[in-house]
Amino acid sequence: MRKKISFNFDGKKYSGYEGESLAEALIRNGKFVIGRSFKYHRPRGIISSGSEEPNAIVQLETGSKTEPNVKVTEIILYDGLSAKTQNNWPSVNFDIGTINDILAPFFPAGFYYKTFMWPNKFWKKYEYFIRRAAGLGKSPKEDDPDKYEHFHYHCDVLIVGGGISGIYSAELAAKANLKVLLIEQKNILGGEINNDRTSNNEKEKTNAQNNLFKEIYSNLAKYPNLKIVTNTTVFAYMHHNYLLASQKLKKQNVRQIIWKIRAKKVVLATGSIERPLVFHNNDRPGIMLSHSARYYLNRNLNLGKNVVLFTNNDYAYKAAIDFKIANESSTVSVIDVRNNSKGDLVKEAKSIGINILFNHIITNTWGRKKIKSVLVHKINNVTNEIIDKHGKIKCDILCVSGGWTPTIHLFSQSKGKLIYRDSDATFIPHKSFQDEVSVGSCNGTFALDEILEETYFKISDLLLGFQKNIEKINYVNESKIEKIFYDKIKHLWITPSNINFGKTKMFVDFQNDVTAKDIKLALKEGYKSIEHVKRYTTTGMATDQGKTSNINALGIISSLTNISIHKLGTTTFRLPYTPITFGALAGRHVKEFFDVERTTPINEWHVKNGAKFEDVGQWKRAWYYPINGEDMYQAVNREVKATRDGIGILDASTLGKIDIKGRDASEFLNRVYTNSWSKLAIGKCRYGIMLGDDGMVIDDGVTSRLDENHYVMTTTTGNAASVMGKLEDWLQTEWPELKVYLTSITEQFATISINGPHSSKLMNKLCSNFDFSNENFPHMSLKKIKINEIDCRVMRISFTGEKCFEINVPSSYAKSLWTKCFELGREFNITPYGTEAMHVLRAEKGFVIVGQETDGSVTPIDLDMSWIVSKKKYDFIGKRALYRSDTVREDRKQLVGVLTKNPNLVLEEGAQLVEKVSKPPMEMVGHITSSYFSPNLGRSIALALVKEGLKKKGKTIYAPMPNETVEVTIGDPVFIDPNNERLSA
Amino acid sequence: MNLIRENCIENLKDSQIQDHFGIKFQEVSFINKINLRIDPNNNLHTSTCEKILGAILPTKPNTFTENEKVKIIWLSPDEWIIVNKKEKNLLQDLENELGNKDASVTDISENKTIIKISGNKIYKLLSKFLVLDLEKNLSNESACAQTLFVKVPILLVRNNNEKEIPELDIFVNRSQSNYVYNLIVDGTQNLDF
Repeated sequence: MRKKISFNFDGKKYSGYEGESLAEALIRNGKFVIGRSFKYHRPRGIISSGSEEPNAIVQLETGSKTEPNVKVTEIILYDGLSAKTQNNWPSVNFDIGTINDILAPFFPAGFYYKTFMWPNKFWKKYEYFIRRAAGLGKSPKEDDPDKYEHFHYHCDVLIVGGGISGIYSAELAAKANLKVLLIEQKNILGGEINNDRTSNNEKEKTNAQNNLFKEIYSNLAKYPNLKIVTNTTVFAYMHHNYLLASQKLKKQNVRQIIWKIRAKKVVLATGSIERPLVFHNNDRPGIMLSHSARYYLNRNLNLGKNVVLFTNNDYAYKAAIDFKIANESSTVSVIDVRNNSKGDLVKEAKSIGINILFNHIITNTWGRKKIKSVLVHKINNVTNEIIDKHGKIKCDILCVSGGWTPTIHLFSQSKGKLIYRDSDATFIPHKSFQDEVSVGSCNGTFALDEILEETYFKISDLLLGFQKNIEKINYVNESKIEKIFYDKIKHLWITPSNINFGKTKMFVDFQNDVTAKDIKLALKEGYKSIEHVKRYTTTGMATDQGKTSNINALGIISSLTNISIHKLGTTTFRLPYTPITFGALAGRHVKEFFDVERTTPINEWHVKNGAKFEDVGQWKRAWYYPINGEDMYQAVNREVKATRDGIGILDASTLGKIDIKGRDASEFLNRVYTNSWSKLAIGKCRYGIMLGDDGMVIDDGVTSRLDENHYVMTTTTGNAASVMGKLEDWLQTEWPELKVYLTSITEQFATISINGPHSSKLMNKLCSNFDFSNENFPHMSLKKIKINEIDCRVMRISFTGEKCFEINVPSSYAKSLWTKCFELGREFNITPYGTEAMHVLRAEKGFVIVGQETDGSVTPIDLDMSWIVSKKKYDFIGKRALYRSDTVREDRKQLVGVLTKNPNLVLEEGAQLVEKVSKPPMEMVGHITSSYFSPNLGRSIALALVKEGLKKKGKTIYAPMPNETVEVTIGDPVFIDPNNERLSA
Repeated sequence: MNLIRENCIENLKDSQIQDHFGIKFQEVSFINKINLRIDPNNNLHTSTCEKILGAILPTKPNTFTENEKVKIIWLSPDEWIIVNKKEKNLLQDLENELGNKDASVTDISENKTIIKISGNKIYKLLSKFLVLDLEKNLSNESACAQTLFVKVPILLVRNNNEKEIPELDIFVNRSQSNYVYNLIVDGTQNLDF
């Protein structure tokens, strides 16, 4: 017994059974109008039972959990489910938008392109209304409370699709002892078998199929190496057999899992999709694809007693037979466009009293909310012209079948080549691009006996690739699968009409409301390529990607232009196969896990002391520390001033540190930096600039010599990893002769930078037995000092222009030492400063920041730092490029200081500079790279790159801003202490 | 007033073991680690190392060797991490014997921390964040692997033998250890799919 559960649809309570789809539950409750169509707002119902559903899409759930455009055929019912119809107002049964249906003649293909192009200035008004009308469903406005997972999986064989061919493949591969993953998009395996009626009659063919399925299915349980995942859709097939699948969970807190699968070999058993037929008013609720009608019928759903089947092929007769067997008293009529059929199913239909009309077509239908009757005409079997009226037939349900389209989306995504088979108008796999095989109806094989044969041969071939040989599991003979003869299909593409073609509504793409008439108009207006017709009419461009409509659209173009379908080709199948939620794509990487965060060992202190943070790459760096309600400007001014007057303390742990050892370490540095390193004394530090091959600055930093063969390099925070990578690259590929080893020690030490006129006093308090005088410990030197028994490396270097001690302390002691600095430094007004104050302090001294003053097009000469470029060295990286005619030009942009006439005005960084102010466009001569208010100077300062700037010192130029033109004077980039007296004061 | 030593992970105090949905976590914070770089073809150097360490430097990629004193983990053809379990002067001994002309011995004890993780579902848990095929790459009892945890470079070292509950050491940069730890713990919530 299945469990009865309740759900809510459009505000009303209904009941259904656990495990069935929402589509089944709605039909069970007699709901046939599920939505309104996109353009004309026509009532629409369920036409399919799978992922191809174009009509019955709903807004699932409400509030933060709401999801638009979900197919009712893909929703598995759960207790308390809530869904709403879309695209209607005030209700799905009475929708004002239906007016569009009456006005349909005024909405031809390309309506928007044609109508809203003129007059130009009206676009803003049009846009408002178009945007309101656009789209189906609504996106959620609140945060999603659910979780989504990503899960990586590796297997030998991935099988996509759990129909007969899929489960048979799974059994064969599992038997060969391989790691196998089988994925099925529905909640049950079996595929097409699930459409069959279940009966106990041993002689029935359908029963034989069911028994076969049951047998294979029960065998699968034997294999622990086989994993079966249902409710999961493989939606992307990418390079190197990397596939993505989305699993829907019933769980409350985890909604979806994205499987990221890497498979050695892939078996595509994705099945096929039935095509509708294109005739006038073919979109009414109650018109269903024949196999889906069977599916619902065989789930004991009441679809009505009067059944009409409109078909062009034999397979669809299964529906007629099932309806008749299910209820002998029902009247079942088949309208078959073909002249005749000798197929076994047709014979069977005849034998049980089904009325078949060959050479007949349906020309119209009636019934606004549910189909009531159809109009039938007779056609000439050669010319296909209407020759006679047969009359109206009453019906409760109209099953349609225009043949089957293999689901080749994934094959196509994998870059496989398709071939067109004219006999049944199918594109089938031809040449694989990746390690993959297609089996079953997605390969254009439809008869069960043929599917089993094909699957066995293809899978045993695939297993040979694993050096596995398997015995045939002979299901064909054992389960008495009979060979069924199917007669030929006949394609009309556009069903002839008894009324003027211009007045017909023959829907091709149900979701985007594209009709055969629209396609004809597009062709008439000169769109010949299928890609153009697609974009102009929007056929195949809805959320269902035209799963039911693509081949029909091609057939219509082909029949109207007399160009065969294989010459037209198909449009490109793109991922995802079915829509994927943003939540699923984001996985767990939301909120605090959005991106990787790197924190320094002192981070907890910054947080506790109210620091505002700045992202520098992945690092969280303290930006400024506001106190007593300060804004950023006030906080930064206070921090800058305190650093110049007392002591400022900075957490500089994020700088990259690279340990360089080896007999050729000096030579290595000579090659990577522009200046010379051989004569650097042990215990001394030197600033270096690193160039790219193109001579442009890529990094800078201070390197210290610890020993004859041992240096420690510091890099900028953002470039630590890339510089390490480049250095290792050069060593391994360009200079294998150098004996040098690199080791990253960025996080071995935390760096506490103590700046200001009183810094040495604090150092004395930290370590009273060491002489911190300028004589014993001069600027640009390094000492190994024990602070409280802990080995530290202390450097006298400065990025502020103040006397500075940078303590490199083993990371795990850093927070403790930092706290201690505050205890001991209170009398010197020790003030923590963040990266913003650091920027102001260095700008006051004219120190550059790589990435701010440079942008990959700046040489050291441009920075007025030619002193750092050795003229004597034989070579260094970028040397040759530095002497190219372009890099030695004197009119390149050069680094200068810039002062505004109004001392209180702080220019915007990035502001463009001009020499002559005129109407735009003006010739730009440079731009502002850094701009701050300097509390120490009591005025604004800025750095800029200006064309021939070095020659223009003293000149006035302009920064034209939106509200005013700012007059500025070019000068020296060093604003404070040009003689570096403060460094050793 | 002495300096206090602190471990990396804020939500997991030093040596504490936490259980999240059957998966156990522990930070091994203060164990000494040495980065060793020498030419593997320099027999004098390799034999010196092996004499000091009492174990062979593994040359097979993604493996480690171990004795009661040290664990030596292969990083690249000329680079190893030595986890020093108890020898006080190991760093100095190696530095003194190998010098720094043709070898590099670097203390990286503070550079990375180790998150010890054990439980039957740890491979499944990690597969939420790692592209690596863990079953295949860690099938050997002395296996290690370098990979990315989301975007964070990590080193995985297998601790358990065939019959024991799976246990791994995750070596991670200390700056990223909080992010990695919090994300793995978050991932323990849903493991039964």
